[in-house]
Amino acid sequence: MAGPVTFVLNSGPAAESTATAIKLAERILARGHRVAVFAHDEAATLTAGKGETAQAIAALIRRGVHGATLDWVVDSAAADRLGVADSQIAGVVPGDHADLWAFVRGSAIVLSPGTAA
Amino acid sequence: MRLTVLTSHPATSTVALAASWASAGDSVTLVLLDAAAALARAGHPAARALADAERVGVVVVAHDDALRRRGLIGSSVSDGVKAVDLDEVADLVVDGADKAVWL
Repeated sequence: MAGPVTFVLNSGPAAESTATAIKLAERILARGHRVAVFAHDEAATLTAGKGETAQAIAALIRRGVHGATLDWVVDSAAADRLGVADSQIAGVVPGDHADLWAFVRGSAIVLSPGTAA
Repeated sequence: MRLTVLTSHPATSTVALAASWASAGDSVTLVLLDAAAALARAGHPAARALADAERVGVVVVAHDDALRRRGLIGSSVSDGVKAVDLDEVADLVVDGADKAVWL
């Protein structure tokens, strides 16, 4: 497979499908593939604060330093709207939909669980 | 073409779509994740749709954790649906398919 796998996340940590997507990203990283995540809407809260989900993602980002790479971009507008722009964990990159388009163009696979019902 | 179709929503439309691709000649694996794992329950109203998809060649698998969270173990899962762990799902996405999509 050529190119990274991109995940597009819309929902927050309470969504079962979001948790599955993060765990699947972890498994794909472990296989040595590059992974990119674009988090917009409620997903901007995943990497905010010191909660369990944010710490798990921080560990994934740190793992990328030593091998397969994880790029995690949070939509700045969503983070601002939800009041979490200033509490993002280290390694998360603020961005916009131009970054999403760049991920999509450069990826072999783009996966999105959609918005939780 | 080998296709891996992931779905988290218990909608039969995705099952029908997978079946249509298989009917057109693609090799399709349908992965039931999260709430979609409920489709694998024996006696579920979607059982007919799953059976129809399997009949045209769709391989149906379901995430074992999602099945467990819904109390679906052993005989409570439809015949023909194989439980897989997330490592197997990752393999299906990055190695087992030419295209993968999450619907």
